[in-house]
Amino acid sequence: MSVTTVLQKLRSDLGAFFRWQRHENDLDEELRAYLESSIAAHVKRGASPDEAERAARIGLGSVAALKEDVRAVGWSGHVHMLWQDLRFGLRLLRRSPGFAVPVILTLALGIGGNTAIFSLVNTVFFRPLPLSDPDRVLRLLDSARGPDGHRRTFGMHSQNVDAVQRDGRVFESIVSLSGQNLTLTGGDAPERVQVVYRSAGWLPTLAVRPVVGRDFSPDEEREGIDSGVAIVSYALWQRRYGGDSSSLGTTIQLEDRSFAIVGVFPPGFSFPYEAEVWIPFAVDASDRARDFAVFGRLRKGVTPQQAQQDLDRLTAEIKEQYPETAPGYAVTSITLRDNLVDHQDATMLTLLCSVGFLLLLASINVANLVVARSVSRAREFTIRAALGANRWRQFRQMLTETVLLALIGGAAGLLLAEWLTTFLATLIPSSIGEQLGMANAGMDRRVLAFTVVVSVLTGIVAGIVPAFASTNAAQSLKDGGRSSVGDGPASHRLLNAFIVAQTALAVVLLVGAGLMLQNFQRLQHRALGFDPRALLTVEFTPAAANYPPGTRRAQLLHRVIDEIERLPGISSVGATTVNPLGGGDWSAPVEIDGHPPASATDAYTVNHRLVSPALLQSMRIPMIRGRQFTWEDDERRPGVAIVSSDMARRYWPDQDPLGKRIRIARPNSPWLTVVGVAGNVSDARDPGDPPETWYLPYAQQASAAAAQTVHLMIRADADPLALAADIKRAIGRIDPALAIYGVSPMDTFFSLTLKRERLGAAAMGAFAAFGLLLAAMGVYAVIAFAVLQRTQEIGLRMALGAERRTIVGMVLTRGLRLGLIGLAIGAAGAVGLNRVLVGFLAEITPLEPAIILVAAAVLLACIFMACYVPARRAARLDPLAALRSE
Amino acid sequence: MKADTPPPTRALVQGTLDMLVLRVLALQPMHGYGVTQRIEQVSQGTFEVQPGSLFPAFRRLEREGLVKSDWRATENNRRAKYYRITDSGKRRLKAETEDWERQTLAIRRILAGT
Repeated sequence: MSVTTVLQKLRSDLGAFFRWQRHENDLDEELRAYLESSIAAHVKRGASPDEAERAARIGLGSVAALKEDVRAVGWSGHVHMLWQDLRFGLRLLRRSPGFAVPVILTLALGIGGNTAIFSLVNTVFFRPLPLSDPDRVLRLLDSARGPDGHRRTFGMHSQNVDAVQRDGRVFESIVSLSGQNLTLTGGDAPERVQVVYRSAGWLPTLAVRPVVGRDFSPDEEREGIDSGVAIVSYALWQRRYGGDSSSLGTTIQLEDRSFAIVGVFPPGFSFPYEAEVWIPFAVDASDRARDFAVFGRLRKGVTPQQAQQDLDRLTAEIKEQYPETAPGYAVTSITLRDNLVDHQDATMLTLLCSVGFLLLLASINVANLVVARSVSRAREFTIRAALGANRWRQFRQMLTETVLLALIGGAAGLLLAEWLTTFLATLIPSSIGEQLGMANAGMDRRVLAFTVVVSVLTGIVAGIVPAFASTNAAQSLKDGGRSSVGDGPASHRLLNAFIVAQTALAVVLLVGAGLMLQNFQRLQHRALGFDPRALLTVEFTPAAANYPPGTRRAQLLHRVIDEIERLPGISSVGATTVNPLGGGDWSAPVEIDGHPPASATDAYTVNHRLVSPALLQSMRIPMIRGRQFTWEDDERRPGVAIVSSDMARRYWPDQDPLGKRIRIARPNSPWLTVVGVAGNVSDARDPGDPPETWYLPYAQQASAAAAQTVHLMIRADADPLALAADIKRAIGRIDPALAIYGVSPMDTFFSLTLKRERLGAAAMGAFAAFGLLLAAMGVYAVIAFAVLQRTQEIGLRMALGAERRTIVGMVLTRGLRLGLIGLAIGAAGAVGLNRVLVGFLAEITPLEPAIILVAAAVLLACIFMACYVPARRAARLDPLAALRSE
Repeated sequence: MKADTPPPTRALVQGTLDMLVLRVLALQPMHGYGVTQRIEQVSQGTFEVQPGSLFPAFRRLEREGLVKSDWRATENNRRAKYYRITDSGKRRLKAETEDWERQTLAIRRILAGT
């Protein structure tokens, strides 16, 4: 088709669209002229005027149908017909609020729930990360293969960072970041801040610029820490300087060093590690003290797979350059989004499935109401059919009405979702939510489009079956049939199918909720391996200037613990470098004496904890074999270690671990003797965390990099928080300048770690409750409707002597029989779905029969009530009145 | 129905109405009723054009720019909408007529050959 033809059509259609009324008038007049000419012709042939008019009108046929056919040419007519349908629909709905309001509310809840969950999913999985071209950013990691074949990943060591920075051929730029908690002094009170040491390459790799002030200059990046400059987070800037731009250039004191603030990063940005201060850093290949989060921006056109191939080459070169590298070592890479998002996230997926089911349930419920309502509209349909409205037109009119309802419901649902997401934001994994400033699952175009599409689909799903049913009935009535909607076997079958489908969906939802709840309880009652009750944790970090790594640190810790132990109401005080519920982690590769060095085991990692002598006692971690540490186990004495029973079982499966030798898998690292075996502590939050742990004496390792932040674990006799002030004073007596923070009971930590799971279970519970309500309402509506339809029959039965009990039984049986069928289908579906999900989601547990039984019982009780109320009403009918009813 | 042979059709061959309307309008501008009469007359009663098909056809042709319309007085001095063929309508008619003749010739040959 040529361009001119298309333009010609478009112009014509636009004319028809904008001058619609004139076109309609023209057509009317044209038809009148046609009729007149036709009459005149008949008269001319000798007919009487009456006969002529009759013949002419017959010749013209149905004017309504003709006009519709004319309008159907081009798109403008369709738009106008749609508009007419919409206006008609709106008028109709306004006239029957008793129908429209419940339907809109049901749909608003259903669509709103979907929109809310989708906006979370959107934020986590689809929304672009707020970095430029984030898909080209890879994270590089050191990795080692353990004896189980599983590859574990770590931050990169300086020597490897140095190697990739010098030889990352596939990368345009690379930036290496290392985090450290430091105490920020000056101002009102000292506070702990997360500091990120930042190598050159930040801007080309991540492309995040300060919103106030400037970024580091190349000279400052070369100089590293000595440049004395810092960029701070927006939050810190607001908190400490009230967002005053004259604060640029002010110095902040971080322990023994001071830095001039040169810039402020955008609001919400705290990447990585929830950082508050960024400091330039020059990576030194021989530095053993820290590891780095390394990010590289791929050159244009290089795929992540190609990049990994190049990294494999680099791995080989690193092994050549550093012969002591463990054999299972490799540089691995993952995309930035994969680094931040757990694609196996069961909570999110379960919720998404559930809201989907809920919306389906809501749609069937609405279909239910539409069918019931179409009975009262049967006359209207019949008249329209008789007047020549074709079946398709009528079908479309009904569908337009439900889609209209769904769109109104969707608009209300959008408001609901906006409100819901503020509650549900906790469901976003914190790494992505907090560090990149994406905590708010805001509405964007994708969410809006989702809502519109879901609304229209919902309208179609809810309307298509009733529309078919009623247009069929109306047409058959026109053709002389006698059936009408809601009457007759076809629509009874339809309503029965609705009951079955609703019960089945409700079972799936209930079972899903049960599963989430069970999962939550399992986490809540999981064996932690220690007793979090009446246990207070206090954090502090000895400043490097006053307490250099080594003996002075150990002495400080000893004195602090002694001072606190003297307080009344405290039974024991321990210290560890990692709070098992705090989210932090520290692991180390270990090497077992006696295993041949070539074995892959030499790069196996365990959780690495430096502890004080009384730690196991204060946390109530059971000592299974051997001895505790004492303060005598210091740097002058031979090295010792306590291993967890999991670790003992893995490394010395059939032997006595006591007396065995083990060390950090690093050349020249001293051998340690195992002196004890402790109970397992469940602190693995990520699936990749090692399940095994070793404990080394803090006093003996006080020079190591891990001997930094100390978490005191204080076992109190009663409420631990009541002792907080005494404890602070006690620490102040040792050193008033020592900043302490993070004072919190361990059971608070415990419930915080479950925040997300708790909310997920609550949301799921709410969905299931709503689903149950919808199903009960649906069953009630169908049964009550059936009773209404059978009023005469029931009256007749009673007049013939049927007992009330029989009537109740008759009504109940129908509802319960259908309910049971739905129950069976739903239970089978839930089991099947669970099987599928268990297959690919580690977090999902297999269904226990108890959950299905409870769900079935709850549902049956609801169905029973939903049937019993109309059944009793039926039994109370006055037979005579019932017989007379029409 | 128990007729052994179908009654002679008075409906148009599918898709030919537009061509016939153009042909009629190519002789002179005409209003709707006139077009139906003319087609019946020229086909000697073989074809009967229903208004239900004619008016959508007018709209279709007008939309494609093959005909244009204006209001004029009829021979009986009434107002009626007259359609007239445009230049592109004439080109289309020529093309379609040639097409039609080629096809009918082919069909005739096939039918004669069996």
